[in-house]
Amino acid sequence: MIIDLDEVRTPTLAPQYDVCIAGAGVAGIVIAKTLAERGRRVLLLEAGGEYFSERSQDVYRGAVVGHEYFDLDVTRLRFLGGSSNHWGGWSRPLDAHDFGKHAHIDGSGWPIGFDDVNAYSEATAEILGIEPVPRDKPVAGSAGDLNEIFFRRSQVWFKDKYGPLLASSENIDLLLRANLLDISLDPTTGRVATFQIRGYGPDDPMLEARAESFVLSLGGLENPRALLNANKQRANGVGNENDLVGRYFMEHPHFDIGHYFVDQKRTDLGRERRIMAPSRQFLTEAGIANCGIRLEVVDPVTRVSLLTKGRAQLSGAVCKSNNLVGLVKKVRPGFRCRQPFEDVLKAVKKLPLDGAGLLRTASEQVPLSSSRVLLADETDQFGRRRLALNWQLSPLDKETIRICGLAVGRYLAEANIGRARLFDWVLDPEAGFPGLDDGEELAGNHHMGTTRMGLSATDSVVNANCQVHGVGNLYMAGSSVFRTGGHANPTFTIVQLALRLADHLAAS
Amino acid sequence: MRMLTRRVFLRFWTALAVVALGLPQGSRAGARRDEIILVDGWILRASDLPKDAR
Repeated sequence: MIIDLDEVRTPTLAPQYDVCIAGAGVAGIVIAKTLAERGRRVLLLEAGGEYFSERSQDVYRGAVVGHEYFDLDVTRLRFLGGSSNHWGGWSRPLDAHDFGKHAHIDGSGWPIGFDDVNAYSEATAEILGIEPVPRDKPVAGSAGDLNEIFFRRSQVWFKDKYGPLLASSENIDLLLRANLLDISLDPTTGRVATFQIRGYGPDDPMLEARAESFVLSLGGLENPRALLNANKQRANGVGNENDLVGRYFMEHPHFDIGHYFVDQKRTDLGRERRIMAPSRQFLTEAGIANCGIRLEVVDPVTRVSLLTKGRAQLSGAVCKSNNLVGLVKKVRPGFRCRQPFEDVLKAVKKLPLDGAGLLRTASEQVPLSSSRVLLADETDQFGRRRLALNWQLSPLDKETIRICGLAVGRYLAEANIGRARLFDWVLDPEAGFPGLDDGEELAGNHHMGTTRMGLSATDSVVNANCQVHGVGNLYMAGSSVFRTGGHANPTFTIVQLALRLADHLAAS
Repeated sequence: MRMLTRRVFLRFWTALAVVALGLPQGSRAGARRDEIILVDGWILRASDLPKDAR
């Protein structure tokens, strides 16, 4: 049943549901659907309607106070289906490596393993309407450093695929335009007693949703905001006794890092898009985070332009080579061409490079305590404090990109199928990251880590079952629970974890 | 001064990368042993360059 609070201001809700879920995006819909199929009574709250509206989207406005980032009301959508209404559909599970503890990445090591989520891969693929994701394939000629990796492209928009089911299910009450304004705790048990919700009208009554268990599935930015704003009974917010809610915000940085040039008689690269990633052994030995390197195909005009420019740059490199290669033995000042002109021409001509493309990374960001979501002073139309995002990147994030770019370049040269040139900022240890003004994609709109999973309340917000430490019946769903983010788009893992949480809730 | 520092860092970094990347290629049939080097952002084989530059 669907109830729209714009039409029914005081709906008749069940006195007690089995589970109340705030947020009808990917995670919320999967949990609601799974629980309903098992006979559980579910109240699903969606703050938006069935379509985009300025009024709802305005609640997402916030401040960006750290590294440059997208406007917070643009990076996500606040209506039924959530961000699945504008996602690209790229689907791939995290690697087994991503769940492990690695000495060079502080705070790595999930309390659950790859097998715990992999058990839900088949069901996840079915929900996303995709075939199973093919296994990684070692890249021949890369000396075991690189794997070719694969994604599937989901065409599922959750509102369209699962909306009718939500409407017809006897076990689901879906409340539209229901804004979660507060979380009330039972003062005796410390468990959640009610979710306080309200429609948009200034005189709309405050409604109380009661359930055995409660789930927040509002996305990686709103999940911490809901906990931090619930500060009437807990001064620092619910579940925030250790000042961890909102910290460890992670993204998947996306950057153009250079160009590749190939001999198309020897390879399909340049004609076909390929994605590579460092092997597990390479990641460990290099001491870097995970990374996907996309060898993007460009249109014919751009290809010609890249080749022309590339040959000119290569000539410049050959000129400088007498100085730079000599650095190993002796530093020579000056950058004027020290090679005879005919030698430069010969060197450039020797390389039969007739294909070209863009090297782009989508990398893992290591968790950083200072990278965080905070409450701003400004309030929204409901008097709840808005978000401030302080996104921070670390030197290891830069190093990950540099090492991965070099690995692909080395592979092309060693296999003698092409050469690569990396941009100056990638190789310059003093240079920062480029920004949106430089035409960069910047990041994936993937908001992770802000209520991260762990064994102890001293270093995490939720436990291995996604339950908020110290609040027995409150659970978090979505990528906010990611301990580390890997490099794969998060939706596949979000669905796996949602199915796992639904299993847990159904069993409890 | 800042430019000079940047240049020195860049050269130091490049030198390190040359050493780090300069691993033997191995013994693939038909290929001679070659080094992978980094020159002005290009990841090249040493044999890509004129002889006196190697």
